[in-house]
Amino acid sequence: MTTQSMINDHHDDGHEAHQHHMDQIDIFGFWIYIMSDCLIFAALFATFIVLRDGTAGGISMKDMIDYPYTLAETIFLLCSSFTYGMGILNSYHGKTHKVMMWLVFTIILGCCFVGMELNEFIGLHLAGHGPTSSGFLSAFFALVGTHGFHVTMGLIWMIILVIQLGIYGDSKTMQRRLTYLGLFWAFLDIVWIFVFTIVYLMGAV
Amino acid sequence: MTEQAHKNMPEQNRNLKTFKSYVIGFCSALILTLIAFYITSQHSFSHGTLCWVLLILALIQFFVQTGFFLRLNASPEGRWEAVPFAFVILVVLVIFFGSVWIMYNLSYFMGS
Repeated sequence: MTTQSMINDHHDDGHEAHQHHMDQIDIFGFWIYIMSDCLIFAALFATFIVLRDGTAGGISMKDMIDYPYTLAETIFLLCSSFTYGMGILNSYHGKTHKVMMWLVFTIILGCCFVGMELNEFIGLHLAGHGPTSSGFLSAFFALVGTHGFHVTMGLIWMIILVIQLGIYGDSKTMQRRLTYLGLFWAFLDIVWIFVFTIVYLMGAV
Repeated sequence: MTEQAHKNMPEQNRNLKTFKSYVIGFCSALILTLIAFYITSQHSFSHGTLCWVLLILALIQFFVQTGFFLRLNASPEGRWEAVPFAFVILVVLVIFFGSVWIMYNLSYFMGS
């Protein structure tokens, strides 16, 4: 090993370590954003609990719960978390095509979830139980709608990542972007645990 | 050089997700979800008990998913993420239970 190459090696190591450190800081920043998003959901959950019994003589969760329907939504979202994880694992090994395949699966599952939720919302609205009908329904649409909106944004983001992967291939930058969306997607699945437990199941007992 | 690369491997891998952790996380989350839906639709318990059981199931699933999907842990590297996380949980609990507590008291004293 010549002195020059040793210097180069040393320089590369330092650069890589620096880059790794910068990535960690960026991911930490994105983590802080997710934590602040938690606060929005906490406020919406508190609002829902307070307004839960304010049905103004209209329907309550007991009347509108459909167990298999909500269970299907839950399983779609859970499976999408898993398929996204498979995408992340493949990106570690640089298998770009497999990453894209798993992301497309995730997008399909996510679209099923959003589609079912939209279908439920439209059905409620057409039956005359829109968000303006009662305090309960306002809180319901606000909380579940905010979650659905986050999932929709995540899906748009994922479609963009698939296109970028197709154009640029897998790189360090793409891996970092995949990590951000992975954090976001897992976070949305975790919020959904509390949505189906507190809004749907506890509302129905 | 190779020695150094080798030495760095475990440190880099600590934050990486593994196939095993995803499978364990997915299966346990699925089972917990199915139990929650089953006991609610069958009305297996009385109202109060059911609420507590559902809450406990949700909390277990919360820890399963943060542990196996987010891979949040208390290792020195993970601490940067764990500390804001713990703080946010505290704030969320204050917002949530604080609001519920105040509003129920209000509704009690207003006699409605």
